[in-house]
Amino acid sequence: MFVKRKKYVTKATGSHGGDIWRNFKANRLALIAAVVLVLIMLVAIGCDFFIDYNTQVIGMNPAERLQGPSAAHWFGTDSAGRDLFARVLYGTRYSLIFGIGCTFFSMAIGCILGATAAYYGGVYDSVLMRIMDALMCIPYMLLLLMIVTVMGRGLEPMIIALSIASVPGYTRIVRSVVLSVAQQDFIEAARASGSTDRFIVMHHILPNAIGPILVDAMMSIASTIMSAAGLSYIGMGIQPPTPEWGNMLSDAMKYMRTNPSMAIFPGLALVLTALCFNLVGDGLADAIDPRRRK
Amino acid sequence: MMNEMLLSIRDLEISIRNGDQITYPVNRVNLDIPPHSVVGLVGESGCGKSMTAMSIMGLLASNISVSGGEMIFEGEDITKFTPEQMRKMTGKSISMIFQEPMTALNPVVRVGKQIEEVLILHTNLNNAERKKRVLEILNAVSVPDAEARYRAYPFQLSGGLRQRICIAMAMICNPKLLIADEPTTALDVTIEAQILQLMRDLKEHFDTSILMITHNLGIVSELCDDVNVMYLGEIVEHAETDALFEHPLHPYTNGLIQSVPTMQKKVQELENIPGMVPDLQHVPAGCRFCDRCPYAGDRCRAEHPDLYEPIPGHTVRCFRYEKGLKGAE
Repeated sequence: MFVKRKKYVTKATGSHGGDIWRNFKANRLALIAAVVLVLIMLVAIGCDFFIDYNTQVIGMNPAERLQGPSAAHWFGTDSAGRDLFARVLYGTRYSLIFGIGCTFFSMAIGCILGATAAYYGGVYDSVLMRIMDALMCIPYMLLLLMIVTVMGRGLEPMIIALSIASVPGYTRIVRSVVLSVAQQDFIEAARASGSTDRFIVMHHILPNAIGPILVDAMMSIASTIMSAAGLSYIGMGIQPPTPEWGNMLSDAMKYMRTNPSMAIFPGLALVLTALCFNLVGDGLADAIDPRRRK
Repeated sequence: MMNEMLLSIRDLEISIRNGDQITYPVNRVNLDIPPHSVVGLVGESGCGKSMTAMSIMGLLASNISVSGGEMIFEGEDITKFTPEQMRKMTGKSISMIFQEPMTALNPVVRVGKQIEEVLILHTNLNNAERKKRVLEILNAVSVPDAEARYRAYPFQLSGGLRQRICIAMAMICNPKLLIADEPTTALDVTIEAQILQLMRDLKEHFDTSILMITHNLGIVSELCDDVNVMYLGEIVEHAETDALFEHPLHPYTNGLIQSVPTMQKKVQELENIPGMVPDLQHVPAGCRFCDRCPYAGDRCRAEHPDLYEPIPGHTVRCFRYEKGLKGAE
């Protein structure tokens, strides 16, 4: 045990970031998931270069409708004769926009609200947290539907709805993480050695709090992607013919028995993306917290 | 007399606000710490020892405040310091080590970096100089294999090593005064002995005074030059260590000493002090110890005793010594 420990210590590079990266690398599954995620992102960014949106993605071609996978159409075609491969690749964009974008927005708002609530406390804290509690009482999907119904369908309302619906959860998490870190003895010890508030926040609270918050963000990217697909699936989100995995699935429902590839490929894409975000989140959790390292 | 002291606390009073209720956990405490000495502050849990230490460091919680008295440190009253002055002083001129070395270190920062942070806050040294200083101090507190430990995380170190790291952190700016709040309570006895030895060495080496807060009389007799015994927010007895152990005057001190098991005496049952420390809302009107004191009389219950000095340099808060030592017989 001692030898092993010593080896680890001497191997260390020195910077906190370097440690995290080295420990993350050691987790094969998370590393593979990260590589896949990078590929997915590259596809989302670059699909315009090899796919023509108007003809291949939304252009109808009734002559080739409902074909299975073939050399010409790798994933087959849908009920309007559109190439499913092109549509699935293009759909990546929407899922990533929802997943990353909404999580970023709600995270930012949640961090500000949660951290200020923890820091100032008192009436502000109580009022804010009761509002969040009230919001949390409404089931997530119902809240999404409510906001989308009020704001109308489309990309922007969906981003706003998904962002707002996640804020209460983040506010709570950030508040509790900051509170629990701030009450630890080492914060007092840091104060006893003459640290400024800013120094304590930057060097002690943040490094201890960022781990759980970041991990939570990663995990919730996956669930946001799922929720976005769910909204589109029930027709409250992105409308066809725009290729979104959710509305593609809803379109595929009618042809499930005759043409299962219509449902399988968007479904696989959805699961793969969500799984990768979860795995990366998990790997990150292990890498960030030195106590969880193996 | 006053000028010789490194830290001189006069009539310190600390109050806790809890809604409308105000309690005084520390009441008119006088405490002198001469340069280059170890002063002990002894008492049961909850008697205000740690509160006194926290008030010196300016670390009292928001509902607790110093409501009276002064603390003269190197000629300046630190109770009148602004937060910024306080911040510049703590960690540099006065530093503190805590009871629990397991939680006093940030778990996600390498210990070397944590020690360095103190230097970042209080000095203008560059990276290389800071690292050199940290390795020096790690060697000074006898951390073996300092280069490797520099890069270790706190959870990779044992309790004794962590306490050494905490001491290194406290000592790196060469403070004039080190406040040690029960530094060995969480450690086992062999490590305790090592840490005490280390503190003795550091005191000589760095010329630092130590305020040793403890409930362990063994530590006091080993380490301290002076002892203050505290009971329910008051100093009840103050003397040089040898004098106190040879001639404990206050019944409370006597009780404390009697309740320590010794190798010499074989006893069936250890003596203890009857009763418990009363809580702060029910402080006795007279002598605060009267409910538990075997000598308590009517006057003790009605009147609050002052500090008397029956032997030069040995003060005690008990009516029995009002007219010198004779009164006690």
